[in-house]
Amino acid sequence: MPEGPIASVPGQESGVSRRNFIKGVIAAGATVSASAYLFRANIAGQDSALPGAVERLITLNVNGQDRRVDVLKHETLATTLRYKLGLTGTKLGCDRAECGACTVLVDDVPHYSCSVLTHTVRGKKIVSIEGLAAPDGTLHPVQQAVVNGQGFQCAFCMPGFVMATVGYLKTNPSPSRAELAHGISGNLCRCADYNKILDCMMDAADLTRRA
Amino acid sequence: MADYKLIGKNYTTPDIVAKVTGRARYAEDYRAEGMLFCKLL
Repeated sequence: MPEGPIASVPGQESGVSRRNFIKGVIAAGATVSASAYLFRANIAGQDSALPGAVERLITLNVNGQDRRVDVLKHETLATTLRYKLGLTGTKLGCDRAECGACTVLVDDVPHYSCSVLTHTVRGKKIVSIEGLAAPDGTLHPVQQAVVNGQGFQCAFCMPGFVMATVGYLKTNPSPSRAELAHGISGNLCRCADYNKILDCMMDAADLTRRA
Repeated sequence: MADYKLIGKNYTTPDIVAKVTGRARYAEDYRAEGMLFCKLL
């Protein structure tokens, strides 16, 4: 009977056993991905893969507070917020300006923070999901509308949707449903809960007008 | 209806306020000292 290609045949062992080959593949994969991950998230401010990259201490105005933070030249705002300032409410979904989960307000305009370099927002006012509620815990009208309507399922995309809605309602406080859908169309929800999200956000527009 | 705890009544899910204020932590938000990362390519 002919044996399958992976069965070992006595006396015909090749130099690389199947077990060692698989070990090698796993080790190579782990090494490559670990460096890629450090490059993306730059955890704990470890040295970048780029030669000559230096962190510089800058001041960022985040949620009304001036925060001093060491930032790399090529560091994105989402990385700074999440891994340097500990504001993990801002989510990284795609890290390539497709999903909108990382949306924050820069001078009241929604931006994908995964695609904004931190150095470009010096001197600007950054507001993330953590900065919406009042210091006494009173929720922002948009947050309150989300709690009332519970339009989200896993809610991973929710910080982005909330920030995009807050930003959009500043430019158009009384949108029609179609206008609001267009206004927050830069955000994706993998639970595909769009109808309930729009219900919530129409309610949010109503609450914002009355606030 | 009166005999049911949840059916027919409004309720607020226990995690929604933490999620809506960004305090809720997802898997990606946890970090441990010396944590290693690995991914199959």
